[in-house]
Amino acid sequence: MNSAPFKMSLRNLSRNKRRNVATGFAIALGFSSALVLGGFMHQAENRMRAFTIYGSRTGHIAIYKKGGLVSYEGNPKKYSLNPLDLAALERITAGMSQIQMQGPEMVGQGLVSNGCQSTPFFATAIDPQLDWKVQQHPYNLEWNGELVNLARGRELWEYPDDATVMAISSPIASFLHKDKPGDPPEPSAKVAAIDCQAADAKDKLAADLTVQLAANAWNGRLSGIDADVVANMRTSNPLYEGGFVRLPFKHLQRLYETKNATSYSIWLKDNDHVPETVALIEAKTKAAGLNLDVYAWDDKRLSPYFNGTMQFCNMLAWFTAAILASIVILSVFNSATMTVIERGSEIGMMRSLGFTRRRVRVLFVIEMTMIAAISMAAGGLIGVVSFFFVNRAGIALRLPGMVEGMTLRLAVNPQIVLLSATLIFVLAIFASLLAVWAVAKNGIAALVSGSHR
Amino acid sequence: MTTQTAAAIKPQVLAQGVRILAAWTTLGLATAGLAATPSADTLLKDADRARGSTSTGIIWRAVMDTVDDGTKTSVTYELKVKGDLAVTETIAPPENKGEYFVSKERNLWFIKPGMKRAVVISARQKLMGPASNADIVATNYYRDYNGKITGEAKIDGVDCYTLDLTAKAKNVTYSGIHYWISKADHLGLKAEFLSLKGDVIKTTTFKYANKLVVDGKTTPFVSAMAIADPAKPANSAVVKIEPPKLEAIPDDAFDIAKLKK
Repeated sequence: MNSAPFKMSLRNLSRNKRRNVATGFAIALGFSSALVLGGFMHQAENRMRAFTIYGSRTGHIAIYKKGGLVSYEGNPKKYSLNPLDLAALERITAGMSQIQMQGPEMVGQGLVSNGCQSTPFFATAIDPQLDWKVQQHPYNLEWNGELVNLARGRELWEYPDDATVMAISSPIASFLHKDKPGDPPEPSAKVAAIDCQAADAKDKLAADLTVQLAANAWNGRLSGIDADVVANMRTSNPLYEGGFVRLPFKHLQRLYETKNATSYSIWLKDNDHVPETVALIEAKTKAAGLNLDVYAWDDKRLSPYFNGTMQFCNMLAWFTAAILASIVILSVFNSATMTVIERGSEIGMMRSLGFTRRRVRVLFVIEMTMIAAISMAAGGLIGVVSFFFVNRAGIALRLPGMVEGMTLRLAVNPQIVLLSATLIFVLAIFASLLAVWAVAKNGIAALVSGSHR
Repeated sequence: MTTQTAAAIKPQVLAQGVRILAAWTTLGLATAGLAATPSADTLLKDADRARGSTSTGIIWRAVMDTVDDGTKTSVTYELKVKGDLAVTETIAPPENKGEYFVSKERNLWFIKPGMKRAVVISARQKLMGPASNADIVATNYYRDYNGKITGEAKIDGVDCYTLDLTAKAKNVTYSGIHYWISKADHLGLKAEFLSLKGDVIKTTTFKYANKLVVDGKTTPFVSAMAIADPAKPANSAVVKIEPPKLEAIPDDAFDIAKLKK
């Protein structure tokens, strides 16, 4: 390959140094901004994906009674999965090698009381041992390992299976004076009477971990159970922050006096085979005569926070990228145009020495490409340094639908790096070509005399 | 005074006397009419008495048959009422035996076997399910509501006063009640329980076939209630009340701690 054009272009870089540096700076900043933006989007998407699938226990696939996702709260008995549905789902999914874990879940409402005051609650329930596997999944730990769902106490899975333990959100814990969670008392321990009007009532209430849950059982009766508060937790939804509780699946079933479940969740071994697995399960449940709805985790009906947030973030990212691209292309075009116009005489000289128009254009494109390459290397370095300092700064971040405790952590997205680099190269080449094309068309005499300006 | 003058005056005096007599008669009749319309408070007190609101103790049993979204249940309760205190014990079915609702003033407690403490259900929380039906049965209208007579109407052919009741305090379950009380014997025949917006949440009708003898006087006592939900016409609750009996009930019969087993 003829290296002469490259040597010439490299030599020409030392001319108009200030302008080349300014142009390079614009490209470098544009590239590093694209890296940072891409890094933010990459971490936001993965964190929200991990939290939706694992943190909030949705699963890769969620199965409801037909219409249950919308209508369950108004008529839980009618729109829940009964024992026959649950048994059928276990049969259908047995032997599907892409499934890693699965199980039923339940949600519901009622009152929680400390014997002196009561307040409404919204409860979610899952088998604690299944919950442990879900929360400890490597993908979840990689992206959300720093998130701590608990403000105080220990997780439900650390207690025996038959213990009626529960976690309550911090505001409700404060209201009921259950903000000092601990291990549940022995079943034989005496229950101290508490005079709600006494001066030491708050202390006695705080020392007693047991609360009472009351709710409309699904048979139409009022039902109640005791539960011991072993943890205070943070919630992901500000709407429920004041009244959110979590307890083992079978105890919430006991409260509502039912064997049913709200939904059935399935976690796959990886994130890649969700659509085909959904289609497979839909076909099998239909063939079995089951009246169910099967949702992928990112279905907007099931995960409105994920979809809404990512839609917004993507729109913002593309808008910002468009602005960055405009800045880069205009900077490059401006610089290239001024360079070409000022060096019109030089172009005329080269043409008079036998350089073709094409060769002249190639020289200037190579020049701009070199500026772009050096600038992107510098931009990449700026990006790496930015990542380092941002990740060390511990900037608090709370994405919609996620618990608190997250810090901003930019992550390299190889796709974004490649896309940004390619785009900047293409824009640089296009801008310089655009600038030199018309000028190179002028006649030698016009170029040499400068009358082309 | 001459005889002629006295004779001239006589008709004038007679006419004046007639006018005075007419005026007093009219006033008397009008006053009698006013005294015949009782006050809203009187109506409420009398109506509450016929549903168990007395200072002495009353015990009775009731069977509540409920249809809730297609599910039918039948529960037998034993109620003990004394003034502002009430305790309802579930007698049947066996799986619900030993459940208690205790009502003190405007608060309601619920406890069932296995629970260490009762759940306190405040006024506004009583709008849910079975607690709302229990609350309607126990509602003390005179204590909790200001009444205003708004007119008259017939319920099943019986002449009634219509009253609008408004809550006396914020911790009363319902913001307002439309109430129909019979004119003849001051029995509450129908009640519509209202939300904050004024929508009817529940409708209840009452029957009084039972009798209660207090201090030698026999008074009607509620024998049946039918509770309906306008939003869910298929849902209903019918309460059949057995004849009550007076009994001296000690205060500790309403003590939650003593009821917990």
